[in-house]
Amino acid sequence: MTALEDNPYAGNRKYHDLYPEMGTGAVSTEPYYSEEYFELEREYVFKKCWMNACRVEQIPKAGDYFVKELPVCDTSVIVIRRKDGGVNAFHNVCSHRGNKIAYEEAGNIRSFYCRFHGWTYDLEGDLVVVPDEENYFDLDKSCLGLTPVSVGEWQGFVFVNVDPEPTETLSEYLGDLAAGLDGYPFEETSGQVFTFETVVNANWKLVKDAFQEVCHTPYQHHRSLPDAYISEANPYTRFIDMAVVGHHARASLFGNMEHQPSPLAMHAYGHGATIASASMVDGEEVSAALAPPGINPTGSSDWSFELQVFFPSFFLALTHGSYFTHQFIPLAVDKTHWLSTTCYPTATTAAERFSQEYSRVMFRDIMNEDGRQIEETQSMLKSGAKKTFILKDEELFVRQGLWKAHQMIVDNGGLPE
Amino acid sequence: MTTSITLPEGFEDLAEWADWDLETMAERSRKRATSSMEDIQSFYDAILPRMGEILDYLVTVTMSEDMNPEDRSLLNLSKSMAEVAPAVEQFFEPEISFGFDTTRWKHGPE
Repeated sequence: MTALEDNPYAGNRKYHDLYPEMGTGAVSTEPYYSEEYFELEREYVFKKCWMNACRVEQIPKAGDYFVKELPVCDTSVIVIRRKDGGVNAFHNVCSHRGNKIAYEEAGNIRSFYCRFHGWTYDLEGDLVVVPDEENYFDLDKSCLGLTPVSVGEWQGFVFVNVDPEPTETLSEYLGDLAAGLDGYPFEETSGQVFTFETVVNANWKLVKDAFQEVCHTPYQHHRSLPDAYISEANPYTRFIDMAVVGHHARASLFGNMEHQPSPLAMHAYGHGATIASASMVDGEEVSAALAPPGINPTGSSDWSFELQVFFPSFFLALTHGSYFTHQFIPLAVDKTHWLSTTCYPTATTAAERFSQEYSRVMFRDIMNEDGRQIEETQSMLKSGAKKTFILKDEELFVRQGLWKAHQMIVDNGGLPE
Repeated sequence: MTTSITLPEGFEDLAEWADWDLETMAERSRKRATSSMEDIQSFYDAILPRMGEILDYLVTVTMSEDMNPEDRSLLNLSKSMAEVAPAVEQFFEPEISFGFDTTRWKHGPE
């Protein structure tokens, strides 16, 4: 215990002790490559969970829409701003003969018009025009609107749930994790959102796992992040604090205030706080100014980021002046749509825009270090050489994600207890 | 070099780096990936000592759609510096060995 008291980052306390139901043993690699297991995840996890679709800034005006492709839910969902300011969501499919209504990813419309036979729907999804209506049989337009999808908003993030009868509201689903972030300036910090999208040849959980622990930093990121998140006191980049919160997980990330920024970083940091400069701040001071109780709850001055892992596959990492997100949407058992964003207040000067660019480039290069490893790991899974992964305490969220998905499959009747 | 650019007063001499005056991250990252380390280093070494001066100027430039072309070019050069900085300062090579192919990213907006 003395070691722990002297140095919170090298002690022998185990977070796993708090979650005995999850065990501590090696975990099977099968969920990462089994087609059968992937189908169970599709039916009993993704088709039951609330998933992030977009931000409200993407659909500011009435008639603005965004199409979220969710192949893992066997659908495509249209999210659209109503005239009264609210948001509706519909399956992207015409009631006539099943054509997709919206072919483009985003746009603005006064009504949805099907290219196939001209059936037309208003922003409420009601069927308003059927050309040559007399030629149909007993057509009742009032019950032939677009098929709604459950939709909810939290702090400007729009979530959808394709379950016809979700067992929880969005607010219940997000629970204490979301409540802990009340007060974070999401709107202000979403003025400038840069997106990164790719398709990575790996199971969605393998991609996710690379971002829900940071103890790979000293190794995988030894060039990009040699000292920003490592110090003598925390040589293995342990979390300051971590916890499972309802369906989800959160952790406070360590930052080394003593780290030596590169020459260009020094220039960038003078023109706006970004995710690149997160380790340079006094964590206690900055997180106290941010106010939400869920940010740096232990009040550590070593704090740099607050990481939130929303089950099943949406991440938020918040710091002072910027945040970033990841989302991993499965396309197949070994193929994943990887969508990340870095978010800042709107740059008012060109110097601030430069600082954002520095942060944007560093973020991408760090993801490039991760991306290769993720695909190399996937390529060896089916060899059968290793039937399990060995997890340490810092890898609790890897275990929690696997455990949670398995629980949902069992609870929904997809697998026996 | 075939392109020529105009830069704000005091920065005219940086016009020799016109081929780094690129609008999008896709263009800048492609330029980094296809340049030799020598070329990247020369660009970095030429701009770094001027960065303080460049940012003192850019802090007076308001971001807008109709930013004048000279200011836009100087901002683009500074964005290219952001693009090459990790290659020079962290990786010591244009692209990351054992890394994900950076051209696989679709990014936006500028």
